[in-house]
Amino acid sequence: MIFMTLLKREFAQLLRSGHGIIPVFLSLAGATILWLRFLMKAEGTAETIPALWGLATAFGLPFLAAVAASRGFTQDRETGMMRLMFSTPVRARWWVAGKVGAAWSLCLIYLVGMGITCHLFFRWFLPEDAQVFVSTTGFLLAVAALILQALLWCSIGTFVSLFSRSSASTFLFSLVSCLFGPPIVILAFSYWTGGQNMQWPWIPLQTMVYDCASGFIDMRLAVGCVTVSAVLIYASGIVFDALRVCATER
Amino acid sequence: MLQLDNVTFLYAPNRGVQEVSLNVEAGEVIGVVGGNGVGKSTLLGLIASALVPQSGTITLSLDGMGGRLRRLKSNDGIGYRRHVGYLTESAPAYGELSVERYLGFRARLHGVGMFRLRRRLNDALMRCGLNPVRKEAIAALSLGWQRRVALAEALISAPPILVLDDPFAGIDATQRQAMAEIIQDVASRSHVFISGHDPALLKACCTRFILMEQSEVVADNLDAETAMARLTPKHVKKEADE
Repeated sequence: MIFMTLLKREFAQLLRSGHGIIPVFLSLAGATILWLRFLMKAEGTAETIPALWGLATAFGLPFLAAVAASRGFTQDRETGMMRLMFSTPVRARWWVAGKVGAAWSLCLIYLVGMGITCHLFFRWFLPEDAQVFVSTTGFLLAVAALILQALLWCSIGTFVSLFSRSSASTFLFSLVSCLFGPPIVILAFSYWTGGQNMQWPWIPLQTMVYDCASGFIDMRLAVGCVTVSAVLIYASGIVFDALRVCATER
Repeated sequence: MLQLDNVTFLYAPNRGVQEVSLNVEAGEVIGVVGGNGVGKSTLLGLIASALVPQSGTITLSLDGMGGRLRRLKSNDGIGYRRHVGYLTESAPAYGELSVERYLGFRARLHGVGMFRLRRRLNDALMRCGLNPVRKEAIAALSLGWQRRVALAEALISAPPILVLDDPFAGIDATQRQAMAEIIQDVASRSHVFISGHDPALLKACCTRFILMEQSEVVADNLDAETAMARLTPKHVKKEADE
């Protein structure tokens, strides 16, 4: 009940602000251009449409999540709302879940937008003799992987927003964390477990989307996404409570 | 009864609140007075549970089921915070929302159920004279009206503890008078804490004063005249005497 109240409120506020619809359109435009380029260059290869679509879509998500999260707690801190939130009878984890949920919902709008873009444009731009096939299951798996990925980006952005004092710095830190955090963690994990894949995992989550769409599902990454997101949401709740103790809400 | 027992919260040496002990009965309106930076807002933040005491306890005793006394501590979290209405110094609000929607949202967060919501909302709007602007966006209102919205928000859950941090700041004389009347109206049922710098208005609202200096409560149970006399700077007093 409280979560839904907060989610509705945060989402409505996000949509009305400059951190809502405009970034969605920018991300859609960027990802669509990228996808069309992928399509046109895919002539004669064995690449599939869902995989290319997923890969292009995945590039817009960190940007969008970072913009959405840059409102997060940073704006509450700027407006002095944080102190009022502290004295409101709502658990810290619900505040955090509301923020993450609102940013995540915005990412879902973007995914729906990319789905529509895909259906509208891909037949026009696809070379006639291209050896490609369209798999509905592939699309669904790509979307599922993207949804998990979006949850991770939004959790990272919200966590960062608790520490930052301006929207601009939150955006930058979120973006940097989204782009470089997961590769570093995955590389460190691979090193620690003595894995065989020791090459630099530039965009492991994008690759997950790509692989899912092609029919290869790496459950470790999917579970990793959900686990890290849950840990970040939990940690954000602890940090929120700690701010009350440290009185650094201003 | 609200009991503060050796409550301390220091940002830095002599900045914050140090070893404050108070006993406040329901119906008392406490004027927290003192110069700038002596710890008034910190003390009110602690009472409102927006800050957690570094040491000491704040306990609210309420009549529970079957006449038993129910004790809630400020660091217990939600249980205590349900009983607090807080008007912060900056009186923030979601400016794009209408007065009605904002108050409805805040009431739901305070656990006001769906069936009581409409009645509580209408009551708060009427009490604070907000009916003429109930459909208007908060950002479009003047500062005085925005303060009234913040006061209505503090009142909407009918809390036993009402904490008003400088409620008269930045508003004109008419609005101040109206606000003072609203506070007097709700004072009988709650433990009310008000900080401010306007002696006449505080005198009109408060039944008891505490004076703060350098993070400490230096005088308690002051009457209005004594508190105002202690508040007036020495050079002003000297000029007035001459």
